[in-house]
Order: sequence, then structure tokens, then C-alpha cells
Amino acid sequence: MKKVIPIYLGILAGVFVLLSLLGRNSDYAIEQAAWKLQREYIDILKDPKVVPEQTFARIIKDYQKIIERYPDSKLTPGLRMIVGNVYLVKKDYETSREKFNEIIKLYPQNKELQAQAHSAIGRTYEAQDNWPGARKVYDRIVADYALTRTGLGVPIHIANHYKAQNDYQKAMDAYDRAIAHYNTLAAQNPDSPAEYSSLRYLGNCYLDQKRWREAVEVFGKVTDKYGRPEHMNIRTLDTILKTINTVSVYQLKNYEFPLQIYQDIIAKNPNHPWKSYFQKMIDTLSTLKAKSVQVPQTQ
Amino acid sequence: MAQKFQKKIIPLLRESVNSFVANPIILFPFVTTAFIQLFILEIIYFAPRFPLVYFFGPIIRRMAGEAYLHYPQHLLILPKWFQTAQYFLFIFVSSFLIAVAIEIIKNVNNNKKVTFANALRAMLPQYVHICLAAILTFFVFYALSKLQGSIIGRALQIRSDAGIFYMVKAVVLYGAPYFNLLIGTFATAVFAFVLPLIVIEHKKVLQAVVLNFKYLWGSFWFIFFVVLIPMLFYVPVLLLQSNLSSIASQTLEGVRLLSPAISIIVLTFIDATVYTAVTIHFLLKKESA
Repeated sequence: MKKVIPIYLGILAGVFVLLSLLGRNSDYAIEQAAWKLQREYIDILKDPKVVPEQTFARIIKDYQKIIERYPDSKLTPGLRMIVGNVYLVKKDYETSREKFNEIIKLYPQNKELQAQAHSAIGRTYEAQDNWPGARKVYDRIVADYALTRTGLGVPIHIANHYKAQNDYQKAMDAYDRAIAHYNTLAAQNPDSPAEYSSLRYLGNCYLDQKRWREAVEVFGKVTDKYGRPEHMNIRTLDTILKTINTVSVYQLKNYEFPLQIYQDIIAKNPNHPWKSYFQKMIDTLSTLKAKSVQVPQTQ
Repeated sequence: MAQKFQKKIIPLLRESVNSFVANPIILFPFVTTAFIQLFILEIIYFAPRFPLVYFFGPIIRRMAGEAYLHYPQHLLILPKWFQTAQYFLFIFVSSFLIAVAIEIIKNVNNNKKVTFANALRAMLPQYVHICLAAILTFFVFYALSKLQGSIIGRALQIRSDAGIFYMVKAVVLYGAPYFNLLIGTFATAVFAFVLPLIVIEHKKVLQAVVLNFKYLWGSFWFIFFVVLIPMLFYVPVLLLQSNLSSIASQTLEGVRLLSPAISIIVLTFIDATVYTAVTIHFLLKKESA
């Protein structure tokens, strides 16, 4: 007994040390090292004005330490982005842009990351109330990184900016340009994630322009083409269907429109994995239609 | 070890502790169980890291989702997975090692020469019966836990913010870990003599269960408190577990690993005390018959 306990403890300690050493450069180790910092970063985002200068300096220094220790990890670009963002929150816009430009130079092969870094640079200009500077960067993203996830979101972001500024004319022009852009991308990239994202943004543009029927048509097309588990989860589908139903019933006062969309989907795909979900929608809408439920205009 | 039959809880528990202090070999099977449990805990803890991730990564991804391969989400599933591993361990390993401990206690009591290897060999022919007895205990525990789960589900539907219904809800929800401890105590007490009967009397599982109830007749509450009193030492672990999230958020997420580790160590001594006490009681009862 007296001999066995040290042997057991030795084995447990040995395995612990061995596995710790073997995994010391793994992504998990970086996540562990960055976790506390990440929480501090989220804390400073809540109210950056009250955060003392030395806290910013310490967080940046700690992030730099992790970056230097794990320069080749796939998580390091994300950490570099956070460093740039900490400078942005600190309102040190020049250094922030420097950090994002470093990322652009360091990872030329990573288009998505480059688009994110450009977009972050755009945000630094927006934070400085320098819209022309931001716009220049955003236009470059649309031109050079159109098919990245970040790039796809930029045209509607520009339109939303003008909308937030209450600049009606520029907002409508920007939405028109965004609609043309998304239509082109969808046409050029059929049956692809780019088409899926483009159509979703297109639908949102129509909603923002209160072009209800076109919005429902586009979301119906998204549901028809991409409403499957391999493209979206059930929650996303639920959001899209609720949008279709709400717009059709409240704005268009038309039950037939969504019913037709769901019936067509089931008719085309009798073995659709979410058939029961669509059927439930059809049943609910049919019941409401039969009861002639009148819905008031919300806007 | 066993001198004369008496039905007193505290003296029996004291005798139990004295027995394994005087004969540390009794602890050996319990310590071995603890070692295996801690080893499994280590493996689950390191599962999402190199090199174990190559084997466990697809399993975690499939069973829990991609997020649980990353820090700190992985630490959230760690107790759940460890709990599941413990069920299997209890049925196939721990119960057998408890039987080995009972065999050792019997030999110590008979002043025979005792070695762990001999006790292990002696118990091998009984392995199937021991596993079946463990399955039976586990099934009762599981069924009662499910019942508790449905009571919790019902309590969650109570909307009251004050009054008797709110109190019922509060007791059911906040008292859940303690009720679960009572369920564990009950399941252990109900089948307390099954393993001693299989090991000492070489009974088959069904005979052992029937005889167990015969032995329990008139002394159930005595056995229940023999099990419950050592179990009370587990209450601080439950308090630690219920405050674990706030402790982890204020210190390190890795603290979550500490709770099951402490739980293993505390339960080792509780199990050793309980099963030694029950075996001593069984031997005394047999001798006095």
C-alpha cells in the first residue's frame, strides 16, 4: 500500500506533465492563454472611457506576448486583429491602422482576413468621423474582396450608414447600388455560398427600401435553394420563414404568397428534410386564412 | 476485527475506520478505483489537445459540437462526460474492486494471510454476479434520479414568486444535489448486503438480492444511517460544485477540474468507510446468528 500510492501519484503526475508538454503549442493552449485577456477586452468594450491607460497597455502587452510565443498558430491572426481593435477602442487610430495594415502584409494569402483588416481600418475612419476616408476603404473592399464574407456585407453597410445619417437620397442610391451588386454576384456565382449570402443581403436591401413583394420573392428563393441542413441551421430557416410570413401577412396582406412558396418547395422536394416544418407553416397560415384573421398595419 | 455484534451506528463506523487504518490493504482496492477515475479525468481533460485530440476530436465534435473542442467550453462538458464514464466504471470496475475489498476484510477478520492479488483472483469467478449486482444498484439509482428529474421539471413550471408553491420550487431546485445524495444513499443501503453475500457466501446475484432483503428486514434504517453519516462528508463537495461557476469566473476556468478530483478523493474514503462498516456488520451478524 505504502509503495503503491507514490506509484499511482507518479503515474498521474507523469501523464499530466507529459500531456501538458505535448499540447503546449496546441490551439487549446493559446485559447487558454488568451481567455482571460479576451474577457478583459470585453470588459473594456463596455465603457472604454473609464479604462485607465495602463490597463490598455497591459492588455496589449499580454496579447503581444502570446503572439510572439505562438507566431504560426492559426489563432494568431485573430489575436492580431484584437490588438488592432484595442488601439481602436483606445482611440489611438493611427496605431490601430498600423496594426491592421501589418495584418494585411503578413497574411497576403488570407482574403477573408485581409477584408476584415480593411473593414477594421474603415471603422477607424468612421470613429474619427472621416466618412470619405472610410468610404474609400469600403469601396476598395467591394472591388477587391467582393466574395469574402466581410466584402459581401459592405454594400449594405454603406447604405445603412447613409440611412443612419438620415440622408434619404444617398441611402436610396446606396441601396440601389447594393441591390445591383448583389444581383450581379448572385448571377455570377450560382449554387454557391456567395449566391446564398448575396440573396440574403439582397432581401434585406428590399426590406430596407420597403419593397415588400421583392423581399418576399428573394427570401422565397433563398428558402427554396438553400433551405436545407447543409446550408443553414433550423434557426436561420426559422428567421427567414418568419420574415416571409410577417411581411406577407402584415405588409402585403396576402396569405397566398407564402403558402405558394412552401407548397412549391414541398411539391419539388417530397423528401425534403424539413418537410414537416414547412407543412406546419402551411397549416398555420391556412388556419389564419380560413379564420380571415385581419392584421393591422404596423408601420 | 469483529468482536461482538452490536447495532450502534457510530461505534460501527469508528470500527470501520480503525480497521482500514490498522490494515491499509483494505484501502488498496478503493485507492485503485480512485487512481483509475483520476486517470480517466486526466484523459478527458486533455482530450481536446494534441495528441489526444486526434482520437477524441471527432467524438467530441459528433457528441457535443465543435465549440466543445475549445477552451473553456470543453470544461463545461468535462463533469458530464466524467459522470457518464463513472457509470461504466462503477458497473465494470469499481463494483469488482469493492468486492475485492470485502474479500480482504473477510480474510483480515479470519486472520488469514491477505494479498491484493489473491483477493483479486478469488473474486474473478464472481465477476458476472458482481457486475449484475452493480447494474441493479445503478438501475435503481438511475430510475430514482429520473423521477427526481421529472419533479424538477414540474417545479420549473411553478411561476409563483412567493408563498408555499415558491418554497416548494426553491426546495426542489436548490436542494436537488442533496436529494440526489439521498437517492445515492438509499440505493446503496437497499442493496447493502448484496456484495457481501456474493463475496462471503458465494451466492449468485438473484439469491444474494433475496437474502439481502432478508438481512435488511428490521435493520434498513440502521444501514441507511451507516451509509448516510459518512456521505455527509460529501456535502462540502456539493457546496463547492454549486458555487463552481462563480469561483471559476473569478479565478481560473481550470478550477472546474478541481471539483471532480476532490469529489473522487472524498468518495474514496466515504466508500471505504461505508463498505468496511457494512461488511463488518454483516460478519458480526453472521457470527451472532
